[in-house]
Amino acid sequence: MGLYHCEGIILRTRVFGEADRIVTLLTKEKGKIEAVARGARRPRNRLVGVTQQFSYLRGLIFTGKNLDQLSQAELIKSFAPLRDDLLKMAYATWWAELLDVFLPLAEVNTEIFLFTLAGLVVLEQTPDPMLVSRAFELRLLRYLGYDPVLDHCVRCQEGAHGSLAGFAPVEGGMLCRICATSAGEKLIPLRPSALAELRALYAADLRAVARRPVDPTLGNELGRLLFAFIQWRAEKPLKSLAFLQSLLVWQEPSGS
Amino acid sequence: MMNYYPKPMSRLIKELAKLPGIGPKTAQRLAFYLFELPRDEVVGLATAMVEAKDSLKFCAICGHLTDESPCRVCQDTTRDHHLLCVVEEPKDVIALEKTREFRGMYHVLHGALSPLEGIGPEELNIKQLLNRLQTEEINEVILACDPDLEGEATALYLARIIKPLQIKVTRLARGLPIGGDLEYIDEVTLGKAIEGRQEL
Ligand SMILES: [Zn+2]
Ligand SMILES: [Zn+2]
Repeated sequence: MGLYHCEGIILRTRVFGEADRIVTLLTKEKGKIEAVARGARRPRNRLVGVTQQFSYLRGLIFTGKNLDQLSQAELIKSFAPLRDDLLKMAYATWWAELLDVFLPLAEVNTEIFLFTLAGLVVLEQTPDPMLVSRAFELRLLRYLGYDPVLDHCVRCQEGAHGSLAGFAPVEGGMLCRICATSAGEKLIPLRPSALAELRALYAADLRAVARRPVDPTLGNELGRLLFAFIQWRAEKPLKSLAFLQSLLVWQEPSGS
Repeated sequence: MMNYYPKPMSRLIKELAKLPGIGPKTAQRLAFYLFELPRDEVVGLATAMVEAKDSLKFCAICGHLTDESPCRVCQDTTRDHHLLCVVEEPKDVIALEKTREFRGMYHVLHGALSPLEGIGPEELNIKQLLNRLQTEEINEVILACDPDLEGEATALYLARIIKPLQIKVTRLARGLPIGGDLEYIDEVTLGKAIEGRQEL
């Protein structure tokens, strides 16, 4: 049995037993961990409020034989605005699911931890997070080592202007017209301007992206590509994406 | 372990252990207890279970658990039919009825929106709710969802679709537990309680 302090963001919570919760935390010190918060579903328990989804906390963890235990926790930042706005909640949940699906347990990655923290801070303040989310998705793919090839054909390296036919999720990048014909795969078309945007988002500061007015056509075009690629990489359906998309579709008529 | 028991006994233990909150040890104890009961009482228990299962249904109007539809609450003319309280589960109706504070009507959603589980509006009893709001004369909708992420999502979603109908939407106050000690209340609850403070 050991004991350690950590700083972490709650990616998800599950009910456990009669009154407990299992929390999945993205921590700075230990990477992604799971720990049980005893009594965290009892109204007067000290852990109730702290173990809300997206909370950023400082915790004390007991390592157990089977399950680690979050024995004390103190809130650093509650990220309450992410739970008080349906669209932001949907985006934050989508990010949390991405991190949960792609990160292995107990593998330290300070870069991803800090990037996620910064991302949530930006998300909290952004009225329309669509482009911010595209930038987050893209950068996360890069941190995970899954970055899609955008500069040239993923098969033959051809990169001349206008030679690229579209994006092939299964190939993990763009295909040129010649390779596309021989591959016979379903391509996601992408306007050259959208491709340029996508490349620019790789390097962009999330705060700068948040200040730009959102072009929904562009956001959706990039989304089609990234969602298909991420979905294929995840090898299983991502439920929060379906929720986010149902919300975006529903929003349009009342958006004006 | 099951091999030590005669077949009917191990089957009973196995069935009992499927119940929520009942582990193998408790299941064994219950099985022995049932075996020692007079036959009448065992039959009474079994009949009660089957009858409850067969006669209970969801009210066609509000979705509450009932043996007659519309349910007793929906039929009660002494209640305020202009006030509608939306809850996640039938057991929430029971909890609110026990307070004796609420004399309006109910609507049971049978779940909550769950972004992480992909449970969207179509999976809940929301269409029927909108139907009621358009056909009945409702002045106020009280959203009594659980104070967790799913409950928040559900309340936010409902508020957005109900407000355009020009109906007042309120939600339960989020505050301090009665009898609690302020210094032991967590920061989030305390923050919400400050937000929802009331003039005296
Ligand atoms: Zn090529
Ligand atoms: Zn009813």
